[in-house]
Amino acid sequence: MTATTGQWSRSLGRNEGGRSPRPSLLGVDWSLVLAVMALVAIGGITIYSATRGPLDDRSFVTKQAIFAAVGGGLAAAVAWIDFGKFREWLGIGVVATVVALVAVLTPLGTEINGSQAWFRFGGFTVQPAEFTKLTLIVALAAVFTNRRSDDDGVASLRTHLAAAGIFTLLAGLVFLEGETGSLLVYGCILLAVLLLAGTPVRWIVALVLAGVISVSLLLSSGALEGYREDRLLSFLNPDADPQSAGYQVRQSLNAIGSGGLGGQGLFDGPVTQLRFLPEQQTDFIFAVIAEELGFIGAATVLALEAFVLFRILRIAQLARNPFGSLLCGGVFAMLLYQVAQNAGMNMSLGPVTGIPLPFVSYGGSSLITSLIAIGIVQSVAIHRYRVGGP
Amino acid sequence: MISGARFAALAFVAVVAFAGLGARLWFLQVMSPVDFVEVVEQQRTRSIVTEAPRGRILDVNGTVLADTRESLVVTLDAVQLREVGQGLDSEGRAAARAEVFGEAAAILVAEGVKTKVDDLERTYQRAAVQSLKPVVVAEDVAIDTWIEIEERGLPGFDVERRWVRDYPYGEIAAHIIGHVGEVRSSAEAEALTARAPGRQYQAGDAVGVRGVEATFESRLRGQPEIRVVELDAFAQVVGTREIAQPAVPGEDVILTIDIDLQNAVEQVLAEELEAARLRPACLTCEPHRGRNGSIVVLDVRTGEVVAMASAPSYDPNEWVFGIPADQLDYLRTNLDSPFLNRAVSGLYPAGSTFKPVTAYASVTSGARAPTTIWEDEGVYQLESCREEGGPGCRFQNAGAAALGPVDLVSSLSRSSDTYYYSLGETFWVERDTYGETIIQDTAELFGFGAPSGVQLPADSAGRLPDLEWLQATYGDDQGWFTGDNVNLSIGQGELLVTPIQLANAYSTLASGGRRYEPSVVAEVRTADGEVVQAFTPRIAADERLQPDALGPIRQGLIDAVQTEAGTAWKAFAEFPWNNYPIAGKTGTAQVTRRADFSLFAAYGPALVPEYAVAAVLEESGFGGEAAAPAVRRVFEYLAGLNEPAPAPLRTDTGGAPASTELEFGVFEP
Repeated sequence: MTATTGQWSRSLGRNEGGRSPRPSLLGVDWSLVLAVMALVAIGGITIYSATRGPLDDRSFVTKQAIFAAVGGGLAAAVAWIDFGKFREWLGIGVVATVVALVAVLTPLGTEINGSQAWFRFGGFTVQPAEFTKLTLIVALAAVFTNRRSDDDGVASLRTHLAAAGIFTLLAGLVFLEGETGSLLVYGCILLAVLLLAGTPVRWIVALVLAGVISVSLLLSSGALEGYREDRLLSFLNPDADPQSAGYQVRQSLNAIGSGGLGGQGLFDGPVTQLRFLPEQQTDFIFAVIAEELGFIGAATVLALEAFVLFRILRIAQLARNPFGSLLCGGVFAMLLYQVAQNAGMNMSLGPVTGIPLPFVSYGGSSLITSLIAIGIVQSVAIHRYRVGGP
Repeated sequence: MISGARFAALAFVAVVAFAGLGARLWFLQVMSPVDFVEVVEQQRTRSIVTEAPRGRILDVNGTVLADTRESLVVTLDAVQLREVGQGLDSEGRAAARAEVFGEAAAILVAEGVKTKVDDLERTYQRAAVQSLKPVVVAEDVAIDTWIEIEERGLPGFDVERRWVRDYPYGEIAAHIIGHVGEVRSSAEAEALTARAPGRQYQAGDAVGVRGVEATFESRLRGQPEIRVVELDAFAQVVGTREIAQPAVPGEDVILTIDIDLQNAVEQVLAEELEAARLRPACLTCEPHRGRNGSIVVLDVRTGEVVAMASAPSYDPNEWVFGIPADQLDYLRTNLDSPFLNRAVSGLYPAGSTFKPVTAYASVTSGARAPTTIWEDEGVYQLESCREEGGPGCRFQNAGAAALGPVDLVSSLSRSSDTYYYSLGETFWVERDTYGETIIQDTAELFGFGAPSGVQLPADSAGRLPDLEWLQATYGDDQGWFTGDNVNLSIGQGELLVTPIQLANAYSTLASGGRRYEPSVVAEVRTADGEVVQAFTPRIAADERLQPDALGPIRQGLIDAVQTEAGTAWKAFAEFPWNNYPIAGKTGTAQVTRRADFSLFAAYGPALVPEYAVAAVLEESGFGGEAAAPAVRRVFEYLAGLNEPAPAPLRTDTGGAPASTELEFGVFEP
């Protein structure tokens, strides 16, 4: 904690002692904005490279630009709003989320790759599980800051039970959709919020152990359908089935490995251009970047993601309001897990799950969710002097 | 306030995660021991080898005997078929394939191609692991079939034009020409490629398996084109990287035979075999089976093969793309071994046709002067065991006929056995004087006991037995006895010769000592007609035979044909040998539990020899009965008394011809 109130009041000149200041552009973390824009731009170019094909198909990059515009607009709106309002709107948010998650299980939803997790609107698909992450973050942050916390920040057992309830509700519905990959994101969000909410470390450790054991049991019981189990386990033995997940991982390694230091050149990566890598614009966009832009390009992407995460953590730290800190913590966990999981699976460090690389991978729901999350963080940055909740 | 340690914990997790990712990225991209660029290169490029058109085989007049023609073939592409039933498990995919195969089989069966769903599945399984090249499942299909397959759009099935080997004369000269077969596996293709660098083979290619097709494989095949193409993930060719090796068409092989004369000689052989079949054997003898045999005609002046017949023959066209199973079984179990080229691989006792060898040894060694009279009593009792008088000591003439006094000339013309029995015994008993192997050494002078050198596969050395061979074959306790020498002296016993060896021996006799390696191939030319290899007479030995021995031997052979007492007199009755004198020797080889093999070896014209002919008709009776008339008829062609008819082209092209025109308005109810 290097910054003091005095320093900030000097720089902003608007400390009104606990009352919400009017939002100001000056409060925006512009470095965070620029880093995110850089990631989205790199993503756009490589999505184009990965999908243009011999016929110069621009539909993917065009759609992604639309998603970015929509997401950016929503993020700006969210940032403008005092994040305290989120707590007030939480009830509506949870109900809307639950309705969406239930509706997607009905014939209104569409099944893709074994997951009943999409709504189809014309040429676009919407994945409620993505937006559910935001609901979960807000809900958990709200629960742990419901009663004005003391400075020691330790929440009560009752609070924890409430958190467990909301987590189980949302995560359970997502599990029913078959989106097992997302569940781990939810778990990470939960852990980060617990950590920042002051939950005793031994509880957190116990929770992690319980989670690990239950996942192992789930895998060994065979309750998961073959397709997902294959994908989860294939990274242990990539050559078991050359046509499926192991094939993807091997092609991903080929792409990354052949990129070298400087890359094969944009639009010139043979693995990408000859479509050896399935899902290359979504799950394996990192491999595309690594092949065409080399270590320099891929490391730049990782550095930008790291920069984004550290800015979020910094904003969480600087917020005067625990609710704001917990919101940032949740977003931090959500993005960190996704970056680590996605880049990790691209480099055969982890199992293949359908987790996109935040801001970079093609996909509307994911991009818009990530951008709104940045909007939430910016809201916390702008309104960071708000001390108490309403 | 939230404690700083909790933020620090989150920051720590992030630092560890990014450090790990960064390290892994550095390891993969900068430090990796795996050359990923090479891995990707291999995965995206493929060499496509396309056969060049195979060279032709022509007869001496330029008539095409083996041609490469385009045929409409139905192909199966394993790469495309792999996509069938995608998304299903392996059983589902197999079921989806079976459906496609069912439709394809229905079309092909209607076309007259015997095929089943199982066959197609097996072909697919084989092709799936072999190459990108679609595999042929039916050739010479009609245009209607093409249209039907295109219309149905059966995945993986296509109709294309391919090079197909065609033998327009069918069974004629089949043993000389041979045929191509299909390279059946990748392993076979690799083995072939290893033998002929630059002529890459792959499964499905044509390779010569018999005859000149096999011996001149490296000339005929040509150099295939190797095109390096770039493929995308769906195995679609996206572009050509380079032509790594341009196609060079195969070279033409020009034979020494004339197809019309060849056909005439084959006809003679077939007809004389049939005549032998119909001719009754003696009551106690084995019946004349008369199905197999061979006639070889050599040019004494050049060593060229003028004609070479082997009965029975087979149609090489049926072997180009494999063969229906029932026919294969027929050929495999056929007692007449149609694939066997009896001219070079058939092993026969020489019988009396061998006597000139013993005669030559006799005169040149001084064992018996040509003029010395030998009293032929019809039976010969070995001097060395006369006291014992056992059955192993008695050798007799055919029919035990006593010929009375004979000299060298009449011993040949009348074919006295005892004359030679006694020589055989003398040579062995007095081996200190004559050497242990004087007969064998003399036989080698005439080319027996070694492959003839003709450019055909399975050119046998025959068998020229001696003590060493006996012991190697039957054990060290074996010994060479007088009886062995006696048998050898008249070309019986363990001696085996091939018809081409016999013809070549008489050619050597005719030329006075010049022995050639017979040539069935005259030259090799490029597709543009440039001669790249010529088989100018290949002389194997050029030793002048001693005239004092040669003279009476030649006279004996002439008398055999041209004197009334001669064994071939009847066969050559009314032959105009005043204009075209012929020298020849009959042979009747005895084979256990089978009718006699009829042999005749000759050359003519006797004074300025041009051709040497040898004929062997299995299980057909005396030499003068079957083989000599056959050779007489051959000489009628050689002497120009008879003009060979044009060899007939084979009528059945094995399916609808590739050039079938579409016929509209013709309906079959």
